[in-house]
Amino acid sequence: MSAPIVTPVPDAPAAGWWHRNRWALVALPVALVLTLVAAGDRVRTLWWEQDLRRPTTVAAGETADFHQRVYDGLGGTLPVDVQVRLDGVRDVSTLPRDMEVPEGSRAVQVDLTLSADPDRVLTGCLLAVRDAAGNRYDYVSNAWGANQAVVPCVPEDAPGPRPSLGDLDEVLSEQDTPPRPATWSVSRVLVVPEGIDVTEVVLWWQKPQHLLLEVPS
Amino acid sequence: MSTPEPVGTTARVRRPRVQTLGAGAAVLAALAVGHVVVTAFPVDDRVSAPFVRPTVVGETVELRYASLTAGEPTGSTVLSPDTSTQLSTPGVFLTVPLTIVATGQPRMISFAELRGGDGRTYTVFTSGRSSFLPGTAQPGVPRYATVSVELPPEAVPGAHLRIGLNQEDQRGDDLADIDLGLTQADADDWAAVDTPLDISSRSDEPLEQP
Repeated sequence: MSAPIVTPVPDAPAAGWWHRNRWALVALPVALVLTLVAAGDRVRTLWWEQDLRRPTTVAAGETADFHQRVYDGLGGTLPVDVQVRLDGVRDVSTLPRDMEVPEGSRAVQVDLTLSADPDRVLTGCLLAVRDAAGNRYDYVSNAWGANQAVVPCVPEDAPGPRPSLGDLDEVLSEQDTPPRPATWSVSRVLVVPEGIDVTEVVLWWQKPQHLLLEVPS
Repeated sequence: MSTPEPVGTTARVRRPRVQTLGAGAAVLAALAVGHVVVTAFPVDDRVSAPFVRPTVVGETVELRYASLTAGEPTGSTVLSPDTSTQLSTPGVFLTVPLTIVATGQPRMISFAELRGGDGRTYTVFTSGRSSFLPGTAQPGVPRYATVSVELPPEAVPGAHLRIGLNQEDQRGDDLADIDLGLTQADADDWAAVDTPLDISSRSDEPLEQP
């Protein structure tokens, strides 16, 4: 027992543990982040993209620029670049042909003016209105006995280019509709319950992005 | 223990073997306890089970996505749907008119199944002889639809109809369970009827009660 060395106790063992495990400690937050990312890999597809979550809010009377890249169903994406203005929402004066509005409901007409490059594919848009309580009422082309335009945001007689269907394009006949004008207006009729006030018009191509157009009061 | 060496270089070597083994055993024990906790209690089914909302004919049930009211069930051996050709069965066709009022946003309610009084489940799907296709219901605007189910007469007494939002997946969501209040007498009556039962699968107008 003649060793002259003095052991530095009791602080040294604690410092030693942190020192010994320094790389593990550095890796720990990285591992935690990786765990969360790996566990959340479906949050985007199964939750985030399943509802209208990213609004582009447009004040009444304003024109909105809307840009989104939407999935084209062939593994790629297509650009949607469009300008939209809400001209108004009003009670319908003349119902679309054969439309019968059920009791307790009324028909409202949404008037929109849009501008886009005639080469842009704009099919696949969806239109809805919301009331002050946040309830959403969708535009349905084939409902209430009437047949309205399938695509609510483009002119029926000049809808513009349709998206590619891959190999099927070769067997499909050429589109014979005239080119879509640079600026156009559409009027679509939706059925909502009586007694609600339409406060917002919603237009979207693929969730979660959407245009939220405030209705002039 | 008598000749201390510089700290850091040989710490790993000096860790007692017993302590290492003890730590390993503790980890294994923790895993074993975790396994027991996870498997000992049969909660998997309950965790993913739908929230069953019981109701009876004529009484409105509030679901997360809609309010639903079942009308008086009726039956026959011959069914005449508005969307397809006349169907006949050696059993019975049971039909139930439903009134659907969506809440919050448009809803396409598409799941229906019949829990027969015989303990069997009779599925309802689009391409089968049983059908339920109400289409999209807008909030606040009632939608009227009829469920029709083909089943043996012995399944009629005590049958419950279940209606849900998603045809593929009812886990963790509201599911209406409607006690149809049917008896053996209903089953016998219907099995003897061969008058075609006219049904409208869906409508924006209230359905005429046959």
